[in-house]
Amino acid sequence: MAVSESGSDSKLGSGADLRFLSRIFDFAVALIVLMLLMAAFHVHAMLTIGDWDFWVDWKDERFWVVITPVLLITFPAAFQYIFWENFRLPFAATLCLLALVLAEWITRVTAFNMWAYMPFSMVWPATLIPGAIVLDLVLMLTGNMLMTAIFGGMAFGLMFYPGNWPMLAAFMQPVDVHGSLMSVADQIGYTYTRTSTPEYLRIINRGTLRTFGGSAAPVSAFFSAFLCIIMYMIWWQIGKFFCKLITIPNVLRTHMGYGQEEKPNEGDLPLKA
Amino acid sequence: MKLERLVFALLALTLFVTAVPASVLAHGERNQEPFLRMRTVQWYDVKFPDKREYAVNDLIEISGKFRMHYDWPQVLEKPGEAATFLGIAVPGPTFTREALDINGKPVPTSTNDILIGHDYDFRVVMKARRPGDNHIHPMLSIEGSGPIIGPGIEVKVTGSQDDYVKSSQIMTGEKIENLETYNLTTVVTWHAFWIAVALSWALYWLARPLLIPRFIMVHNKEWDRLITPTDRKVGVVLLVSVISVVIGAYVYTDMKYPTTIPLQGGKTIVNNTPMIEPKITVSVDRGEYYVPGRTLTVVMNVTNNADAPVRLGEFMSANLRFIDSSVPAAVANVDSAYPTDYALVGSLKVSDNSPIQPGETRSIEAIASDTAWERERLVGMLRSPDNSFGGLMFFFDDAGNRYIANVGGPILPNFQKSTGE
Amino acid sequence: MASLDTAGTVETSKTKTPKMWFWTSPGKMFLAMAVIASGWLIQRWYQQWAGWEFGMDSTHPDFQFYWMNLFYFNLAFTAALGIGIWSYLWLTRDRDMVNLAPREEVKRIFNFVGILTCYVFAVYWAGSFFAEQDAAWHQVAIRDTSFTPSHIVLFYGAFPLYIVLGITSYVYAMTRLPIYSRRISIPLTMAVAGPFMLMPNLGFNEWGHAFWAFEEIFTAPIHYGFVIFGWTALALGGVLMEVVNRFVNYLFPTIYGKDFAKELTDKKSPMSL
Repeated sequence: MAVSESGSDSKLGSGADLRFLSRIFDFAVALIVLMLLMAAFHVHAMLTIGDWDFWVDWKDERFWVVITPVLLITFPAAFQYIFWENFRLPFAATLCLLALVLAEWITRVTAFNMWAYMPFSMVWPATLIPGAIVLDLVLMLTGNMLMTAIFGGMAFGLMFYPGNWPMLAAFMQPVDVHGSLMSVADQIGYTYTRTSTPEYLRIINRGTLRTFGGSAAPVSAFFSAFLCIIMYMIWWQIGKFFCKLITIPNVLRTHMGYGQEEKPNEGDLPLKA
Repeated sequence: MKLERLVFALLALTLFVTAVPASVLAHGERNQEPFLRMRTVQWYDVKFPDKREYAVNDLIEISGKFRMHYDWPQVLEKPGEAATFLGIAVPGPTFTREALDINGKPVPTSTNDILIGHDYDFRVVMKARRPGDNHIHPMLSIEGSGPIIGPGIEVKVTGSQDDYVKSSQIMTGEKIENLETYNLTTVVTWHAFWIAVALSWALYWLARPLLIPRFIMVHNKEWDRLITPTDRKVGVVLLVSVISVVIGAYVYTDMKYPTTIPLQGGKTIVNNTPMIEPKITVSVDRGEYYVPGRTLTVVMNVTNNADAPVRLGEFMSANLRFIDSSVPAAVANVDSAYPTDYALVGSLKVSDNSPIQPGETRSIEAIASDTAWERERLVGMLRSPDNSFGGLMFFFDDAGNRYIANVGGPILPNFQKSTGE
Repeated sequence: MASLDTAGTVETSKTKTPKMWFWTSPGKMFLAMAVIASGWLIQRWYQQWAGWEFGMDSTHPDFQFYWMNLFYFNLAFTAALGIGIWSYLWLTRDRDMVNLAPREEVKRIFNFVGILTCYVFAVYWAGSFFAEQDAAWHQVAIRDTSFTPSHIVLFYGAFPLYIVLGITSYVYAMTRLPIYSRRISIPLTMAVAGPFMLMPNLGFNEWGHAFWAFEEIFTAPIHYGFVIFGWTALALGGVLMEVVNRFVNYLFPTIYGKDFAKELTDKKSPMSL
């Protein structure tokens, strides 16, 4: 880390002092954002797509492929609004999915494996980092919400399945279990007992009427891409909504030495350029 | 006493004791509503192994029969319409599932063929994975009803979890040495790779002044200073690289694993056997539960349509077997390996248990009395909005033949007066 | 607390002030985080030990002893902590906020950021670490009562703690910071009240599990209340904007002079890589 360029002038009220303060503020906010994402985005993820992410025998080509990107483009879109509109920072989506995957790995290790003794081959999480980086880069290069929704959102949906296939493919090889055809993933789910999650609870592709070229995944990915575009636009607006600087009168203000009259804060005003 | 235990708990906290021998716990089944246990799946003729101590990797088999109760609770979905899955009630993967059969056929997935009123043979084979003392039970999960647990035994497993092996054979030839670690290197490597890429991209931005200077520049519309031409170049390179890696890895994986199948979620077909026409019918006049005495009294009319005289030998409900010790065939029907917690010999008294002749209808009073009602938390039926009981009555003739009758009906609590034994 | 300098313009005195004059409490913040982390790791360890030994049958006397006592402890501890901190903050509030010196306000903003950091850190344990752990424990025990080894720590320990810290940050802001005391900020209110609502939402969760949800599926609609209230964490983006606005519109010009923007944007910052 470099010190201030002039080196000497870090006195109170100096420019160097101000830059130092501003930099410390950056780090403080970065820490909050990372932990916030690990908490809030993870709650959102585990309660909307959790079961598909927990278990290898839920990672199907119909629901998992569609639902996961659609529900995980949410926070990235909202955070991109906050960080792009105000700061022109193009790494919000990447940060979201990075925080998510870190938080997931922590619980897969400490809870699923160390407490419930589930094997890792059963409980590894999926990753959406490649799609998130593309989402950020499209935003950075186009600087436009609509273009990001269309091209970035589409890429986010389309890249999910191929991005995870290198990890998943081996688990989709066929095995013969007591005369029934199963994938390795099915066999893992069958073998390692989940006491409260019987097999029928799996929301997976249970027989498709018609698929193109024998695989449902590309169609699902394409559908997901479509939904991601819409979801991105909705969540951009949600990000906007949560950042609206709205205030209402404080009835307790006289207790802090304010007068009876309501005056806005100087900080409430938009910045004068 | 309390203080001692508190001190012990605190001591344990600080000493990081990982394995303190303790009594084997049930794992939640006693909190299921009594009607869920009494009026759904009637497990009977369950055969347990004699052995109660196993090493890791040993196989344990439980087999027997279950009957789907005729008076299925209205609040639950009907089996048949609802999917059913045969499993084992064990604390998570301490035991793994090796084989699950219904009527001699493997049921690896769920089935919609389990129907009300029918009897089924079942067999579950489990393999010990983790050392410890545990309850193991067969279990039938029914969609919308949840897990219905059969009788269970306590077993002790010794050894080390590290020795547990589960191998598999892929149909294209490759052998999986250990399902628990299969393909893990690939999974972890890819995660590490993408996390590294994401971290680099985040640090690329975190390395420069972020929030307040950029906020000011945004308002001053100094676009080129916010996203510099270098940033754009880096961005294009990264964009092309990420997309290429994803496509390249996908194509490579497809070549490496040419034969893959989707997850198999089809329903298994179970061969149903015809319903058994009951030779003995029971019609309940009055069911009464005497609270202080932990006694269920059933006044009922029994009609014998069999060819031989019969006596009531056993009343079974919620896995508890109340057995009349004066009926030798009923006592002989209890397997030596059957857990004594459930087989309550001598707990059933019948008002007039002389043989009921073929063609005869007789009103008898069956009194099932044991503290097990309390222990298994079945007294909760008195607080249930659907206050009724259910179970099976087993009648025996002199030749030792057994006749099963369904029984069930409303129940009245009796908080005070003696049953008049 | 007396203000450091009331003029609020460029510092001229020769007295030596620490470089990080604007943030006097980062040590306290990290200490608080370490205490939170150790508290939860100890309870995590307790789960490891007492969960398997005494935690699977709530009808057993051992369960009453080892687990219900932890339940009472967690509730009592967090309640006492909350009442203590909130009372202290209210009783020592600034009763003359109109005359607050700018430098003092900057310090308080950094203290506020520190409290928010602890709050978000506590949300992490509740929303991610112990929440996903609950999914793992449900695969070990059959759905028991509302009290299980994971619920007792998650719902009655980790939830109350972050609620305590959330309200603490709110009370601190209300009693110390002009931007939050003159008028009520909607983003800050949402960022505290929204996650708080996860606790009352438990009522819905347990009611549903008592009457119709007998099986464990994490993505069930019965859990969506947690998801929606979790979204309110995004309102911290609004809080960030309020703070940045206050800095740029009032505090920096007052402390560093009108040319503060040039200092920030035209010179290389210290601590940049």
